[in-house]
Amino acid sequence: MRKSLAAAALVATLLWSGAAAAQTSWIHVRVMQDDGAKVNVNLPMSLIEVALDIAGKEIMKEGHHMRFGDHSDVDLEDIRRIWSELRESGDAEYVNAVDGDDHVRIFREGDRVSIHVDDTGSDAADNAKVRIEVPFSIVDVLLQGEGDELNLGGAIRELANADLGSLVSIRDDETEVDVWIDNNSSQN
Amino acid sequence: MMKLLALTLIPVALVGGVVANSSVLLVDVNDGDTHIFVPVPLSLAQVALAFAPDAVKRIQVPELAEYIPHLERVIQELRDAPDAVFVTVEDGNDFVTVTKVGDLLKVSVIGGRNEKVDVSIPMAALTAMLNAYDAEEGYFRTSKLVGALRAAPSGQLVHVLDGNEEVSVRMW
Repeated sequence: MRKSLAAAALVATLLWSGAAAAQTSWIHVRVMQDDGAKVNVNLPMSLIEVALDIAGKEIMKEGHHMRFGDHSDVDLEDIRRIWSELRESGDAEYVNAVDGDDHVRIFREGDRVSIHVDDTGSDAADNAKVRIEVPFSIVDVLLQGEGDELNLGGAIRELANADLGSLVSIRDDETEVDVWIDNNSSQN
Repeated sequence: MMKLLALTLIPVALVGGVVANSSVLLVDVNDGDTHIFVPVPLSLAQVALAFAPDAVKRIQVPELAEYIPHLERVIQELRDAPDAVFVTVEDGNDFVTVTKVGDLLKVSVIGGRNEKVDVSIPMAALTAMLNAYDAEEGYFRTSKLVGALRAAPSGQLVHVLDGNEEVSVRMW
């Protein structure tokens, strides 16, 4: 579970950290561990955009597009079609799956899609919660790429126009991770 | 006799004039037993580098060429960003901060056993250093790199404290 949490945090942070925004937008990452270790990161979104451009040479092809499907059984065109239908619907619960101690919910509230993962194991040490908030407009732009390409660069720039707030929240028995965007340069 | 004295003083006066108008890098190393203090006038260092072998005059980094525009953008964005604490890390007795203050990017590392590192990176100097890069040929001109330090403001650039050992680099 911990590896999953770490992977989720990494992916989410990578996605969100690439966002371009107005000069006043800041992305914050806070990691706290129960042994007292703390990491706080506060970076202007404009700087992240530039950093992403540099990283793009390694992780993106043809500008700000990233290929999808090379190692996936899911066709991106299918996802676009499904997304198109979903976005026409109102608030709804898309997924509610319980598997043993794991509970996964994916639902729409307003202009956001929320992904909630709860691990309520009998062993308190295994308890974990993951909360990911995805603004609708981000997914719209992400899926605007041609063919099997995702418009990652466009999506993260779009984040600048999305509502500010929490993007990722992860809690387990040892670690708390929060990623959010606001107009403050500090976390106070 | 007066002519000889005048001839002797002319080069001294010239060198003195160059040094007087030059920024000076002060390197101070103290390990408890030995104390070394080296003032390095940047102008003189640049002149000396002009007579150095090509291997010293140029630092070949051809792979950097494609990243120079990106680095320039990163530095410009940093310079444009408001002052802020970008990163703090606390882990036991170790404490790390990365802060922007004016045109300086300050990195501070505090360790548990009387260990401390403070580095102030003048972003104007970083920009000047990038200008010392010849993108077509793929190398840095060391004399220009040294000259780039002139863009640094007066004050401490590096301070390292490790037990009884202390190193300080200051611009004057």
